[in-house]
Amino acid sequence: MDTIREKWTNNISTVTLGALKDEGGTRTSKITVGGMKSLPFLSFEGEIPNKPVIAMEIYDKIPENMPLALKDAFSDVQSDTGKWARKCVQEYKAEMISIRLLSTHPDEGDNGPESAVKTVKNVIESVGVPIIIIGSGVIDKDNIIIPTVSKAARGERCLLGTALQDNYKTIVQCALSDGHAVIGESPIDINIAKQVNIMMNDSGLPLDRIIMYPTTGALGYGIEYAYSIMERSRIAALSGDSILGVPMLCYVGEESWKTKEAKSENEIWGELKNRGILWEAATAAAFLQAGADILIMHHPDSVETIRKTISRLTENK
Amino acid sequence: MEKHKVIFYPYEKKVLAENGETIFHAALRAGLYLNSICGGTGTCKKCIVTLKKGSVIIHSRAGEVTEKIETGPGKNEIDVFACQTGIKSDLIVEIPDAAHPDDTIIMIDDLLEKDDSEKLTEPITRKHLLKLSAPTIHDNASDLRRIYRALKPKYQDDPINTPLTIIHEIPYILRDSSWNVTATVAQNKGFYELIRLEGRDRTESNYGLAVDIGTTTIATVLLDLGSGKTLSKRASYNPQIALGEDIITRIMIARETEDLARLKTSVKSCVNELIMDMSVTSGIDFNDISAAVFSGNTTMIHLFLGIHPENIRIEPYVPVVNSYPFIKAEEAGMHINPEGYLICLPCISSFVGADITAGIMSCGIDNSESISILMDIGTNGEVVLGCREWIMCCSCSAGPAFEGGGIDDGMRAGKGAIQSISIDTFSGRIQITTIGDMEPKGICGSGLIEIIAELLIKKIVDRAGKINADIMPERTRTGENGIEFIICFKGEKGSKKDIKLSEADIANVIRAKGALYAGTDLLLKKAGIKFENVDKFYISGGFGCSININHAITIGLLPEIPPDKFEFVGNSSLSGAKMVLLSSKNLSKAEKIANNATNIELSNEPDFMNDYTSTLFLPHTHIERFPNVAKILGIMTNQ
Repeated sequence: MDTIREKWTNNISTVTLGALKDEGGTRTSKITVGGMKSLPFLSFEGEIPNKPVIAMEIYDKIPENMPLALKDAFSDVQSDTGKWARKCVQEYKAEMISIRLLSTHPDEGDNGPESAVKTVKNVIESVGVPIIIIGSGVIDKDNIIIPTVSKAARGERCLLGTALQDNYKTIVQCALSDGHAVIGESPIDINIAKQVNIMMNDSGLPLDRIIMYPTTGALGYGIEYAYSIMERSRIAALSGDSILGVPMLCYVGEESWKTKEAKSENEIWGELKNRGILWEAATAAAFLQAGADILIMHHPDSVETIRKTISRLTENK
Repeated sequence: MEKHKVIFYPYEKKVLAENGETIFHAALRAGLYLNSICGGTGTCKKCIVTLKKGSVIIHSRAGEVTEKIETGPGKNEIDVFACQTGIKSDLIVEIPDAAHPDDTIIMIDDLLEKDDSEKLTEPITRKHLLKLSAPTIHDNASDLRRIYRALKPKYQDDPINTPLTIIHEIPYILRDSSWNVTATVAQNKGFYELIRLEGRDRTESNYGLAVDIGTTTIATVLLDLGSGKTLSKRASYNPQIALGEDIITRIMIARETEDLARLKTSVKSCVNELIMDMSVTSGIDFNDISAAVFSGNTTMIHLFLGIHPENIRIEPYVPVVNSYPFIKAEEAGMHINPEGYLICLPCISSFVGADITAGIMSCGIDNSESISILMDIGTNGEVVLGCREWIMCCSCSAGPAFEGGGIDDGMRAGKGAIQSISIDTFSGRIQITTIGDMEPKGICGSGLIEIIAELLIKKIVDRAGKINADIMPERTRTGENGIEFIICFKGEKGSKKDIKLSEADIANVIRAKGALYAGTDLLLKKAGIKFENVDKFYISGGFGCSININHAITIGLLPEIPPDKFEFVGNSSLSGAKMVLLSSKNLSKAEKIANNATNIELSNEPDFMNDYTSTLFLPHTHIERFPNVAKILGIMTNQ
């Protein structure tokens, strides 16, 4: 029986992050995502030149309700972002590091640009992998912080986040001046996702410097909705809609470790020790199928599991 | 109860007001409809009047009352919101131009009709001259039988009824006029009725009235049912506006029985005044008006007939009735022949009313082999898609943006409304034209389309509707509602104030045009057809005569199809009502249309929200649907 093969007319754009020495940066490795001409892992239908990558997330301030499992995994390094990043890369083979500048949030310390720049510089000096930098999510504050960290990381080809429908001009400006890429965020709405990409692209940011974050929930918290948005975006992109044809990322760790399933001591749900890890891994695995190109994760064990999953899904391809 | 004399200038209208009555209400009773969008809650700021003499009490929006304010000679005049100001003494009030909507263009032309008399086949009432033979001992049939016998050649075996009131008059009329009489026979549902008997030949004097009760304007036409010709046209604002700008507000007000009565009475009085006016002007006796056909949206008809409308606005949105019984004019209190019938055309659903049934019929959609669209660009924004075999419709709830509502410097189409614009970004010059060539007062719906299209083409506004302050910085500033672009400065071209368009205003228009486009798109999707399969795109609405098609396409209100497919049909609600007057067959046609049309409830459609979001971009998120516009805007399309 013949295999039925879908024929797609368009491919997803390719985004490269991290600049090596001869490219003006200080990274020792780069990552390239996107470029596929087929739906996830269906390489018999179209070329899939790049595998999904795993980034690990670090914070410049430990969130108050950080689950025990995560605290335990990194208790020895969490006080120093540089050490934390290095542990993620050296011990757990993270392909990227994602820094969340939580301390700049008005309610979490309201730290200013100097602190943010210090953190980013610390991480840049501590690891050689490409870096993702996101602010606190408070628009007015981020518009002050992002330009300073963008400048501090100039030339490294980082991924800055996030651009919103009503607030993208500053971050796009930074990306253009300092040679970075931008995460375009949308509230689980495929049209708004496209609109954000159009506005950024119209402002001069090329499609090979845009990555979409469709706002994803964890398993049990709207994952199906996010999944369907991502799948529809991919299908539209492969059918010709280039503006939607950019790589996607998911903040798997942040979302899944927030859940009560990851934190509740109610042992009827299974041993707490492994539950959060499984929740994060299951969430990540689903998003791999939806088309995530970058998974931003927390726990080393989940990372290990997903790395194996990606390996199995992409072997012989 | 203390009463105060209030005089309104410049109209010199006088009225006696109750102590504490609002200036707005007093003006209404004096026959002056002040501009209001919020229905008297003090939010729209459009009803500003100048107090020249007298004392008043001012209510704040929170319900508190501020102290009494006195003004007069020697003291400064003050400007107040008419709806928030209570009368406390004799008053002299001046109504500035902006508050009085008298000069508005009211759409009563129906552009499809070229020669009215063409459509006259079997009018809804007919007058017949009967030369009867007097009874004899050999032919002693009853008076009524004699009349029916004479009518038989025209009506064959169709039953004719006669009401008691007419029966009472028959013996006198027959004998006083030597058995030469004129019988007026009216059509009802399934039978005929002898509604009038007059002595001698009065066959030349048979008139009919068609009325469109719009949410905003009431339009009427007086027809000669003998020739089919139009004798007179009139239009006026629907006085219900003072009680509530939109349908939902009026439905909520109608919860109280006395308020439902008030809503009913205000329309009734308004129509009666128009009838008297037209009768006088045409030199006819209103008793010769033997039928009146009414069209309007479902809520308007419900309120007009005093039918409880509450369930229209509550899910699952159910009107009490769609197909109305005929009502005697006397019962309805209409100033036409008391035995004449008021015929309300059938409605399709709670939000797609008789006006659309009438529109479908007058555009001939139900007769056509090929597929047509009818879009009514107004607050309710109804859209019809269909042909002879099937008809679908929906109400897009576009909102009042295209009628100036919710737009800071918006106004209804009238003298002084900016209707076209041309911007030269190099020299910084803006050229505008206004309706009536007067000094600019505001922006009307068609002007909004023109302005936003021009701003988009000149890149002053981006596709998300945001203003780029860099292009013409001298005309861009941050105001109360965010960034705004000044179309016309105070003093420019005689304008009395800055006329501007803010990002919030633009967002309002985008939402309105988006709703209309998305509703149309969804109907097509449900029918499984594309825009290119549509043969004719009819546009109706009080606004429908003066929009620029190309610019409407540029902003994504209308789809990009060949411009010659569009046709303006003006007030198609009124045309449809006329059709029923001129040919009674059209009544059953209307019933059939209303019965067969499938109403799509957009709020129930899972795809609608998604499709709607994609329209919130200029012209659309998916620019491939607008390849020409993409070219004009310099955008690369993928396909």
